[in-house]
Amino acid sequence: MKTIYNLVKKDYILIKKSLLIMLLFVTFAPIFISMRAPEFQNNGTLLYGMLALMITFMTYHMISMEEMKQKGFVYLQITPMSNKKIAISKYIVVTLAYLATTIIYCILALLPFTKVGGVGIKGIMLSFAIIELFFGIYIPLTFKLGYVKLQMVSSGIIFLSPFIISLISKYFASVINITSSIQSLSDLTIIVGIVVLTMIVISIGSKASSNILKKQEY
Amino acid sequence: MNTVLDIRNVSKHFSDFTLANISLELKENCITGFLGKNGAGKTTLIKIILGLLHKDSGEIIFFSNRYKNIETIKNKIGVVLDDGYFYDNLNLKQMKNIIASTYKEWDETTYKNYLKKFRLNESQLISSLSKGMKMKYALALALSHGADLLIMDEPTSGLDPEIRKELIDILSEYVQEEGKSVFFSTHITSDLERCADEIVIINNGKIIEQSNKDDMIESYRMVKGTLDDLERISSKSIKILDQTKYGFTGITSDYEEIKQCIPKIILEKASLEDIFLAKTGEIENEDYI
Repeated sequence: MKTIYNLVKKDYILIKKSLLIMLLFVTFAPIFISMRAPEFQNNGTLLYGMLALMITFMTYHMISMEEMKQKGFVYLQITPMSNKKIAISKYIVVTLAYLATTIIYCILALLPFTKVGGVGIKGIMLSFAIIELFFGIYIPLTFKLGYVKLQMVSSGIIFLSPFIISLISKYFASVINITSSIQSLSDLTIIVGIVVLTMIVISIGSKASSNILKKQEY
Repeated sequence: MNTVLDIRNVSKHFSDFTLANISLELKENCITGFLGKNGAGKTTLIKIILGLLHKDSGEIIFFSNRYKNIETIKNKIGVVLDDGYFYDNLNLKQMKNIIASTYKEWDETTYKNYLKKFRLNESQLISSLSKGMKMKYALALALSHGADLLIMDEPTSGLDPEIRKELIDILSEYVQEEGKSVFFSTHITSDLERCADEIVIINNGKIIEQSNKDDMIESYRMVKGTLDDLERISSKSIKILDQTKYGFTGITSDYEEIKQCIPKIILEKASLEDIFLAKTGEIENEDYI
């Protein structure tokens, strides 16, 4: 646990210069957007989900960029540290960024003068599941492709995302049914289900990352 | 004397370079100098030993297979890499905390003693360290977890003579302890002349010599004579290092034969650098082995 703690701490130290800016962004962006777009004042689920995904993505990208610029990762590979611990620490880093965003957003939503729309437990858990599923694939991909190649892939995904989303909604109407089915489940079922799902995703992602790192050359 | 590292026929092929059938043995309580020009394959072999590169073929045996898993082996190896390979944004303490938590036998007292000895401040950022200080820090980390084998990649390159001497003294002291060994790559022969017990020479991805340093130095002589003398010496027995219209300087292992043939010829003890240059330099008389 001490190793993972030190790895997580290391990742945040690597981006410490950007942390204050991100904190300010997480605090003021929802207030600004809610004031400019009143539709978010009644229901903030979409705003919160987008903010959480963006902040976790930015945090992870900045860390990956620092990892690429500095050579410390090579030193870790010569120590007895297991690659699985390195991968798990990345999932914890992302989860912490997500938790921080959630806490700040929920506090903002509780303060009436901010006009920030509230978000329910189902919205929070669904965002969490989406983020963990996304990073479940994205973290092993970073180890496989490296930061530069992954950035190209990310740009491609961002560019193609409107088309992909419209394709999904066109051909997979069942997705909507899944969303409404989730809404009908109890909070406890959703929490337990998503926590289990996240554990499975992290465990598969860590194993895949560990196997990829084992084959890498430095 | 036990073998701490046994490398057997290790090969690695790149598009522009090949490390071919490398075999060498490292003995306990020895400093083995790994000598080669820039680009000869020293770092590639060290990276293969450390698992940073994967070998195409061959076998690497650590500590005569005394330890069964790679984690235990890594616990017994201390590493000092050229340029450190640290996270520059971290301070010494933060970097140490990551490293220390991975080793089973991390000794905080030993680490603190080295920091004191090297006059390093734990709160200093790694990015602010000079090359010499980075090397000292890497050495402090490598020597603080009970490593039995210290692997160092060009630790003295770019360092001033005082720091180089300090490092060599530490290494000499380290191998005095039971079961400790050092594998030390460099292209600076004077450092090895001071401290190495064994010498391994690599050139163009091939090991061209491995022997005891004193035996190696003793088996060669510098030869100086006139051009007339040179005509009487077989080209197979000498490697010419320098030739002018007045005379020549060469290096040979057949010095007794040459002395018998030309008694007035000057023979001088060869330095490791002379031998290294003769072994790896541009070949003028290609027959020389």
